[in-house]
Amino acid sequence: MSIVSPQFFGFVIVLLFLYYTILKKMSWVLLLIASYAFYAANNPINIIYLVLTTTSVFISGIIIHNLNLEIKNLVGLEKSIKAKRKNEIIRKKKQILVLALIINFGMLSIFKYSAYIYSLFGLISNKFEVFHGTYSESVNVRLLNIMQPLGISFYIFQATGYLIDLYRGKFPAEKNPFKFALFVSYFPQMVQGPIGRWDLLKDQFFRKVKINYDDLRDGILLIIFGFFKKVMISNRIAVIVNAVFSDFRNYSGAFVFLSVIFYGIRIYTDFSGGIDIVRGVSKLFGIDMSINFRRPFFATSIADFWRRWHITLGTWLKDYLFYPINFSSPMHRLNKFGRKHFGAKYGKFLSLSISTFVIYFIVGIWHGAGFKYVAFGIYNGSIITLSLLLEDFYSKIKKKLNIGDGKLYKLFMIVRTNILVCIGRFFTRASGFLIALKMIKHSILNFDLRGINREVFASFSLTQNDYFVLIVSVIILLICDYLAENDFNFSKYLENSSKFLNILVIIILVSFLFVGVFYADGYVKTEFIYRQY
Amino acid sequence: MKEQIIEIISDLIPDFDYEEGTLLLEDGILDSFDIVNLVLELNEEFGINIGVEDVTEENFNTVEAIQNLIEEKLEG
Repeated sequence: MSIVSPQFFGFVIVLLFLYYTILKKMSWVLLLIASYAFYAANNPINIIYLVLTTTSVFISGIIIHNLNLEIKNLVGLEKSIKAKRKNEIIRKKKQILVLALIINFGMLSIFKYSAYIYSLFGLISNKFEVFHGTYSESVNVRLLNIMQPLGISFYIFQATGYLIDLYRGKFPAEKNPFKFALFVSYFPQMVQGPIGRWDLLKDQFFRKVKINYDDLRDGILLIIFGFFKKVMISNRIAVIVNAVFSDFRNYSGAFVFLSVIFYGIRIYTDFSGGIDIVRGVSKLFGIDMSINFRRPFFATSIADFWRRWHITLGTWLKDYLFYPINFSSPMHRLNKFGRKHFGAKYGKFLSLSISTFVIYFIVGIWHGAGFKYVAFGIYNGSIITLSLLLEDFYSKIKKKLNIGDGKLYKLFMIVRTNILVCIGRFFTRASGFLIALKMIKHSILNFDLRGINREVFASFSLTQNDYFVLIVSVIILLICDYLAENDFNFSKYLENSSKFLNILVIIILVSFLFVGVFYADGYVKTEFIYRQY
Repeated sequence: MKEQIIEIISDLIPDFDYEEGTLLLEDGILDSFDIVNLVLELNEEFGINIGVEDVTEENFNTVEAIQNLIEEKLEG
């Protein structure tokens, strides 16, 4: 069931009615049943994996929680005995945690990479292009469909995050397996995240249900905005991107580069649009899900870009991988070694560079199997590490050239960052690593602006109306993002406006939504890109 | 102790301008690289062991919160 289909909105409306009326007192049970029904509608067999993650993490969580209590209860013992006993319990905790992580990430790796590994050894021979031609290795359609359960990486990251927090003693374990099951399976997050946190969601799931007008209005606003991004921009611009990436030699270097910019717009509107829709739907139930994007096109560096793009994955990696790596004993020793030999300023970069590369390698392979994703990770990791090392050098040049931190310089940094991001996107969108390199080479060596002309645009299966809608929509999106970047909050503005204006806006938006969902049904057949992850 | 913490942060962030209640994380003054370096410096300076489980927004959002964390660690 697509989240931009009339069926999905019908499903949500029925749920909302039950949630706020006859099943108000068992609201979370209703959400749990609805979440499993939503999942079953996609592929009932895949419920097995969802249940496996839920039970393995739930049971491990209870054991770890009990061990945490055992540590707390170690009172009245002699110091050395207490320390020995504590170490034994910590070792047990670690074993349980590692076992649960192996089960879950092992399962995820099998689903994510086995088709690729099979194809490398020629064990699967049917040609099929997944994700509009991005993944051109030979994979078997039926096998792949069975192998990649909906939202598996999102719910595994979410559940294991809960377990690591428990291990760190951040909160007590949930005792009710069904309540925990809702946290893992909550249907809006199933398609493409965001990756939620237990301490932020649990009170919202299990509190007394009460209709909140502001939540309903904000939910509808988010859904409309997400729908607008997906239908008006993403699905249209995809036509150009797919055509150019399937045969880039037919286009000038300038147009190939333009198409990678279009791909940036395409993936942003697709992913953030989908997230807006699910966050909006969740808001209708009074449940606030974490934001996943903060206007990434306004980033002033690659590191800043990653703080604004897929935020919940970034914070997950930071909290559960980046910090543990950096605070581990080997890294601590490496840091000391670096400081001793290269001085305090540069010595610390040694350990930070290694952890940065590990993180971006993971970001790369999280997107898929294949060397192009590894290259994508290395590319981002290298830029971030280099910019750290060259920070002082840049400052000196800036000072020498008398460049201030004014608006023009900020604009330069934004443009520079976007160009670097675009180059990185060649790797994720092209059908292979070598093809990505060839496309970059073609873009540079055959950069002829005359290649961007009316005839080329006319060659795609888009009408003049489509182009008009596309241009106007991108301008609207840019204005909205610019206003949001400058702290304008439409929802707050409405909150402080008259009731009449609020009701009027809601009526207009709901009408748009209904017209949009039904009228544009034929236009939304393409699925969300991040659904495959 | 507060002055020492402010000095360490100022070494990491040259244009850091401390004011009572400055929000280090919420206002984007410290990023994850700074946090790693700050923790290593604090551990060394105060002879404590701030671990990964201590790196939370509550413990690092203000200079005062960092001071509380260090005091807690020193008390053992």
